[in-house]
Amino acid sequence: MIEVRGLTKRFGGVTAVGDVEFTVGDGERLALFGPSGGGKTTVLRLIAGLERPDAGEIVVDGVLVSRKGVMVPPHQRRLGFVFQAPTLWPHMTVAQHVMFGLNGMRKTDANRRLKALLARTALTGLEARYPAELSGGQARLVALARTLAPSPKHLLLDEPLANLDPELKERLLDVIDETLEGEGCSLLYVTHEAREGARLAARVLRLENGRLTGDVRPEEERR
Amino acid sequence: MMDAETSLRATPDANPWRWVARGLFALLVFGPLVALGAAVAQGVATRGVSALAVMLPSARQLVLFANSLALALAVGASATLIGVLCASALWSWRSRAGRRLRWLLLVLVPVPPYVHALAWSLVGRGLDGWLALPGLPLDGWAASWWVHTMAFAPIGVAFALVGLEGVEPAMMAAARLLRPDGTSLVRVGLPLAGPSLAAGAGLLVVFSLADYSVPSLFHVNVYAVEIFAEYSASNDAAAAFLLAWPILVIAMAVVLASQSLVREAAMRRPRREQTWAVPPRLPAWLRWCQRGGLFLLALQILVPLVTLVSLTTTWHNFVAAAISARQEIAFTAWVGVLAAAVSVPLGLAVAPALGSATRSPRWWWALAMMPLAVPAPLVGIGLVTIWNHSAMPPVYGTWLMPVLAAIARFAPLAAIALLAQVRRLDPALVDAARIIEGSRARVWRRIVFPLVAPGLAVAAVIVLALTAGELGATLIVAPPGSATLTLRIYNFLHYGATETVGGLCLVMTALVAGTGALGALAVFTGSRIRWGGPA
Repeated sequence: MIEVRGLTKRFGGVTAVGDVEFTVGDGERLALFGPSGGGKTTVLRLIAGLERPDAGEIVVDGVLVSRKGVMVPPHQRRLGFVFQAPTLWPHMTVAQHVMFGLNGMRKTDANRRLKALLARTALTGLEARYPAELSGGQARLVALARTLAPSPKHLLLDEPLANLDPELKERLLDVIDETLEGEGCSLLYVTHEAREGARLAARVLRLENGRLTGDVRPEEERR
Repeated sequence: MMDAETSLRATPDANPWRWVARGLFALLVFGPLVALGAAVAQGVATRGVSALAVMLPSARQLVLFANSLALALAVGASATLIGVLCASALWSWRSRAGRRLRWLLLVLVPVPPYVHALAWSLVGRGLDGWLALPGLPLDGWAASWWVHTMAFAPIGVAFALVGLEGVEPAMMAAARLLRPDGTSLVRVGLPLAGPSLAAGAGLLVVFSLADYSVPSLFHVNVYAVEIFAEYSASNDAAAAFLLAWPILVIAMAVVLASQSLVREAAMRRPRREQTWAVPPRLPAWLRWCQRGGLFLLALQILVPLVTLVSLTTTWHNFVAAAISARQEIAFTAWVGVLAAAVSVPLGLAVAPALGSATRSPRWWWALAMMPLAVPAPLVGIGLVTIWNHSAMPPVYGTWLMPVLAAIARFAPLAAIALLAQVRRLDPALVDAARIIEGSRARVWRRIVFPLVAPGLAVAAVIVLALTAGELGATLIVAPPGSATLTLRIYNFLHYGATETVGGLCLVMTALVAGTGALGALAVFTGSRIRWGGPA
């Protein structure tokens, strides 16, 4: 479970996130939706340990990971994070991207995990390709497979389908949906489109000007 | 906001003066090389292919070249290693003041290597007398390697820092979420900065290969000195040019291979987001290595400063040295100011062509980068070949010769420095001004000039500082009875270290570092302007 309590982050004199509180239960799917610049990405970065909070705390699976004076390093939080852009490393192949997060695993197990993930994300056969040799949709799936490799308990997705055409977006949403089902991890999905959030999540929260302003009913948005 | 390519494409090139300036740039920068090529052609025409015999090196020259190359490779490797260690530490400085101050660590970059040679040889002798360390290399190849490494280390740091700063923060964040920070740095950060590191290492090899001032002070013969010696002995420009071919080939290959990287770095817009909003946790061994690198960088700054101050002993000696060299200081300043006054406008005319997407900037880049690969003595010899001719105006033997040498060597750097500034100038701002204000001159004065002024200042500072320390070409073209400060110091150095030499080196360091600090101030002032067009 991810517990966010009184989370506040300021940049200079601007409050990007102010006193935000919510929880994501094990296996739960929650979407954060709101206009651009509303603080959604900052919330995810704070949870992932890429930013320090100015106030409040974050607890992941009962462990306090962020508070003023307490910072558990990002890789020890067992969280997966997919960024808005695929952020693939140009010097690594698809297989190397996935294997990067499988450190410490026996080679045979790591290879098995690689194959399973590539199959799940429809990337089989592309193992040896470099990012420059992938389409936009494939690159996003590689980013997802890389994130899922170490079997995170919770997945944070920061508008991972931004700037894709609607048809491809639908197809990738299906793949993400199936992958999450198979991996059994909980989801915190950030988007500025309520419909997109509702498509994946059971609960949608609205974040505006750094503050939670209420719930959105997913079933209404899906219509 | 327009994108980069559109922005440069939209920069009007219809101005005929710009093309005149570009022609003049090509003439001044490439004239010496063209003259040397013509001298070779003339030699072949009169003496046949036997004129090319000098290209076949003797056994002694081959050994000398192999040794010089080994020295240069060792310097490239060690200075790059120091650069990587220091830059990886400086990269994670987060406060705004710290991020600015770290560039001041590079303030001694333009200080000529022979100043470092003097300082380190004094330290070596002091250590030898004090500790009586057996086998301390006070002379020879090892001493040359150490001093070259120290003198060029800031260049390694600069390239490594530019490379690491160019790594997209999200790329590092993606790695940090999966693996510890040390692994992320080694497996993701450094490979992504690899092209910059390789370009820096390549240029360090070239600089070390072309410099003979330090090895000669440590009684080591290097291949670069052969060019100078050949010309002094035979006065044959073509022979000197042909003899330099191994250095030219290596240097050209390195410089041309790194041109795309330098172009990318010059055209990169500054990032607003930080990579290390949460500071990295690196393994202890890596932190110690970084401290070691920073310690060496600090030594690189402190040893010359402290040694020169202690050699000068008193303020009175410093003032006396400055007064005794007032003519040389004035001459140096005069040459530097004139070189900057010509190089900066020419660089401003060439800079848009370097970034142009429509007019094949590759040619301009090759032209701009190539002078960096030419050993300085060849530039001097080429200038003598042009101007020491009865058909030419009486420029040879005048103060104009060092100015022309400085322009030939450093105007391309001014153009590259200005590209970074011109690149950020949104043409929409100029168009908006033109709608209101009809006069092209007034738009330039009120809109364009304030926006490119920091770049002009930086380019001028680069030319000034490098001209002050220029030795290789000036040694050949300096007019009789006049010398730059660097020439006076270099001549004095061969007679040993005295308080006068210490004072002169201190004056030189103060001049160069002061000019560098002015440049840094210009950059900081410029960075307060938010680039990228209308908010």
